[in-house]
Amino acid sequence: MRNEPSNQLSPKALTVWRIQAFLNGIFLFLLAVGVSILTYFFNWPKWIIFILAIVVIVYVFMSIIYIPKIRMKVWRYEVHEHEIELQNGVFVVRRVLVPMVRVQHVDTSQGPILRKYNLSSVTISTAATMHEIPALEVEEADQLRDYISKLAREAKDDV
Amino acid sequence: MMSEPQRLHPVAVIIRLVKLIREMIATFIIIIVGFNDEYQIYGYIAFGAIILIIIISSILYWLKYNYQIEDNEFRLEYGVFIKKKRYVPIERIQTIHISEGVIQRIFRLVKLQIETAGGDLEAEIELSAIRKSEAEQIQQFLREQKNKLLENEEAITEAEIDEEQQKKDTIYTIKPIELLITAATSSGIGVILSIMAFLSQFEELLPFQRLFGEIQSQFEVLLKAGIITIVIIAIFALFIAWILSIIGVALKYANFSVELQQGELRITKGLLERQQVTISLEKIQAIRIVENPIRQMLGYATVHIDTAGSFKEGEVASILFPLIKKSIIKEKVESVLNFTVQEELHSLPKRALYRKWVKNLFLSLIIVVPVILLLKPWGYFSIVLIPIFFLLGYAQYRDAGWKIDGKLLTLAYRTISKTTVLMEKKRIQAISVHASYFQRRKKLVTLLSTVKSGFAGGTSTVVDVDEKDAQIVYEWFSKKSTQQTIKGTVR
Repeated sequence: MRNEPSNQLSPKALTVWRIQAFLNGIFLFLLAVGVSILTYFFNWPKWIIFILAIVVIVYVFMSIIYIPKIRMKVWRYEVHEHEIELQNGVFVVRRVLVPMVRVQHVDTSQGPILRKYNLSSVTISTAATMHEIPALEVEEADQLRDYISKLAREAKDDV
Repeated sequence: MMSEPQRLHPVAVIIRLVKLIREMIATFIIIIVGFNDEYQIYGYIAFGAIILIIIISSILYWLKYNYQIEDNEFRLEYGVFIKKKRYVPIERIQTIHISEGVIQRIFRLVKLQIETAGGDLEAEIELSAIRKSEAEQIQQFLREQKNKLLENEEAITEAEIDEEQQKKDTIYTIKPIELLITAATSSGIGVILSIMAFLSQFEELLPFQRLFGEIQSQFEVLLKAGIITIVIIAIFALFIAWILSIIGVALKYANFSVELQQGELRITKGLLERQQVTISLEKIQAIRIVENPIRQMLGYATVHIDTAGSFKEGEVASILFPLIKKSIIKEKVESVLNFTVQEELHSLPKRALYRKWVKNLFLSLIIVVPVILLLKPWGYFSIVLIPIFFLLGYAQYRDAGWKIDGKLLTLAYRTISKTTVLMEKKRIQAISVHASYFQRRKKLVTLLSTVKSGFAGGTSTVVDVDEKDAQIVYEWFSKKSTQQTIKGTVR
């Protein structure tokens, strides 16, 4: 394939993903504790607790420590005059090419965690697909949104 | 035409009534069953009152439902207590859909639905009962008006329009034998699902207990007899479901015909409920040629069209030819649409075949192993699945492919049915290339192309394309100038 797109996400995305994974982890942990208590009261086999513990530990290790790193490394984007290129994924690397003429609208949005870190996500919508760049500095995201929106308005079909 | 506000045919009252009663059927049952013995009289009173209210409201609804065409707008005013107005500019109208339900057929009326691009799932304007001649008038008038309005922008000469107007070709009509084949070979999934639903009734008969612990020998004998019974019942159920699906499909696709008029396709179908849909050719996003294994053996295929923003299920609009001889597809499609059906595609590299075999072997083992463990000794029959999956894997490899011809991308793939998708470059919304860890090791990728279809996207996926080939497609789609020349690797 041609060279990968040049721009990376904000390094703070790593922290954001880890916080999200941590919150999910707490939920999973509580669920596991709940099931373990049931196991105790109903005399279910003890290996259930053992398996749950492994699941929680593996999840925490993978989703907090390992996966964000890979994700960060893989995530790339580039906006050219006539098209947008994105690359993301963890085990499966996905690359997508969206022509500027197809872009219908661009949004930026931020949830509470993104806001805390002064980040923003950019969503690019075509008539049939949606693509999200998950974590950019707010100023960068706003700039990108305006830039894409301007290019999309100017873009003309070559057919 | 129609500067005066018009009302629907009075039969609209009946249609509204039927609709409301159908929606309230649960309420009625509760009322009738809920009031018992001495209080039953109140139940009947409530029932009567509700019916009366429904009748009155249906009549009022009809009285207040007005439509007219004025100032290049289709205007609809309705609502009993809250007046609602909906004005649709004529040039924005995309599709006109004429259908006849059972009630409409009794009174020789039709239902007319008008849609614009986008918008919600419901038809934007629905005239539930009007005379057929009037529907045709409206259709004709709207088309002319729309052409006139667009003409100002595009400056098409009068002569051209006149000439085109007279041209009305019937492109396709389904033959009785084709209808029968369509019915008999469609909805394999439907059949399987109905059988599953049926079998779930016998869940307690199935030997789940076998999984745990020992079972007495007598029970085992019973079990064997039980399985034979279940198999016989299952085959019987399959047969019944099949017959029912044949009848259903035959009713639906009877009288299927496609006409071409003034750059619009008019598709008509149905025996009891007749439906007609008009699609403008420019709205077509992609063509899909689907061959399920049985139809493929008989040399037939189905041709679908993907259109932007079409009807609820997109069903009527999506089938162009329900069944067509494979040998005449190219000629038929090319005579109507601006697509070139490709004959030779670039195939997948040999190493893709091994991946498909490995994948299908796993799939078949997931089914076969539990079946053997659960259903001794009959489960051993499921071993035949392994060679079947093996052959399927080969077919998946052989039938997949891609081709670029000027501005046209063709992708072919098979899960069970073989699908060939033709997409114009200007209709493709995005192209993606996915590569898993295992694919990367073999320099293979998954190629995806998305067009707009209905209200969402329709994505065509070819798994295990050569990395270099995918790059050719990617660069073809890209507007960024590259030095690479477009040349496929033909094997």
